[in-house]
Formats: sequence, structure tokens, C-alpha cells
Amino acid sequence: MAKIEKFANPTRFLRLQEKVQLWLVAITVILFAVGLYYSLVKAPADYQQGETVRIMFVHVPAAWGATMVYAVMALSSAIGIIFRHPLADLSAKAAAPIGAVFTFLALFTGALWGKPMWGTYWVWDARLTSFFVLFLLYLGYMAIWQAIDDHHRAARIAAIVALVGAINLPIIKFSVDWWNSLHQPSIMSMKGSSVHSSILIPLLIMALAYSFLFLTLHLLSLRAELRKHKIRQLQMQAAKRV
Amino acid sequence: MDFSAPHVDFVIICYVVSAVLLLAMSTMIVMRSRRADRQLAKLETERAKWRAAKTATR
Repeated sequence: MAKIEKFANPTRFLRLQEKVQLWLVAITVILFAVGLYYSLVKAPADYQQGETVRIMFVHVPAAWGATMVYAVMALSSAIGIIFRHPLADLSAKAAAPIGAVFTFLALFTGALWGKPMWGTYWVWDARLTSFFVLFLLYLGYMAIWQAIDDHHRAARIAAIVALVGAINLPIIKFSVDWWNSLHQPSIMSMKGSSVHSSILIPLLIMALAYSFLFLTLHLLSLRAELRKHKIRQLQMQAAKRV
Repeated sequence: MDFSAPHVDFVIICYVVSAVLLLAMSTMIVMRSRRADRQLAKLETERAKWRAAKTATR
């Protein structure tokens, strides 16, 4: 905990971010290159789904990423509300657009996977609907930051929305178990994986690539948010001088 | 990958749209970060000038 607090200091964070940025970019690029090679070349076509199974390697990591980013956002919001830490609210704010893009990609690629497999782009079943709600939550969260000028007020309201919206995460996860759904059940569970290693390996590499992409962009975006915060302070000081 | 397989166009669209959106988002975040860095550097220079001028007038 002391270590986390140490790096949660904005100045130390900026120094650390500068140090790790290039490494993170390099790891992300390598993971995507290897992941795409495995997904498009090495992985075999499925005996039932044929080549469309390859959509899984962009759809599932985007979906996992979308829920993971929301969990990060909710956790940051909770830290912001409880400890009033300056980095926590900005961390949640920086994560939201990345999560929204991941969610859109999961919905879009899911729709394109659904057409050849289910015969339809969209059905209002529990998994798809709860994921669409996640997308709306991201948009709502970002709209609050845009709509309210007062930073502290925006942070409080946005944090409450993020925390209330976190109820949706277990609904997304267990929707395929709780209700009848066209969507396939989870492929990963505590007991292990239900897919063959030739499919699982590219899937995990791509999931790791998406995770590192999020980490890289989140740190960079958080850096920009910190800079903008400082800019606002300087502009207010300059206005007082005039 | 077999490009003559049925529905392969769906696969290609998914990969292309994912790549385009992820690249666009990355580019926007990098540009935003650089713009903020430049703007902050400019404001800090202005503040340093103002402080120097204030000290000189005392």
C-alpha cells in the first residue's frame, strides 16, 4: 500500500510514466504482432464456424478489456470518493474513453460475428443488452465530465455514476448463466478453459495485447489530464494577476 | 486464413475496423498529451517572465 501511495504522488507518477512509456509501447506492439500472427495464420479454422472463429480474437479481448476498464474506473472512483486522492478521479476520467472504444468494438465485432452464426446482427438478450448498457454508462460518464465545469463537482457526480454502474459488471459476467441466451457461455472459468489450446493461445495473447494497450494509453491519458489540471491552475493564477 | 471461405468478409471488416479505431484512439491520446505538454511549457514560461518582471520593478 505504501508503494502504491508513493507512485500516486503526481510528480512521481509523471517521472515513472516517462520511464516506462517506451517499454510499454514496445511490449504492446510486439504482443499485437505475435497475437495477429497467431490469430490470422497459426490458429486453425473451426470445424463448425469456419473462418469466422477468427472474429473471436478481436471480439473477446475487446469485451474483456471493456469490463476490465470499467472495473478500473469504478475502483479509481471509489478511491477518489473515500480517500479524495488527486490522481484517482483523473485516472477514472482518463480510462473512460478507452473503455468506450473497447465496448463499441466488442458490440460491433459481436454483431458481425452474430450474423453468420445466429442469422442476425442483434438480439435483445441479457448479455448483449447488459453490454449495450455498459456502452451507455461510458457515454454518460464522459458526458458528466463534459457538462459540468466545476472539477470537484464533476468528479463527485461522475464517481457516483461509475460506482452505481459497477452493478452491471456481474450482470454482464453471469448473464449467460442466469438467463437463456443466444450468446455462448463463458469460455474461461475457475475450472479452466473450454476451448482448445490452438484457439486459447492466440486469444490470450490478444487479450494481453489489449491490456497493455490500455495500460499504455491510460498512463499517457492520465499524464495529459494532470497537465490540463495544472494548466487550469496556472490560467486561474494568470487571470488573478490581470 | 482461407480468403475464399464463406463470410470471410465479416472477419476482414472486424479486423480492419478494430485496427482503425484503436490506431485513431492511440493517435488522439498521444496528440492530446503532446498538446497539453506544449501548453503547460508555454504557460510556465509566461509565469517565469511575469515573476522576473515583478522582481525587477521592486
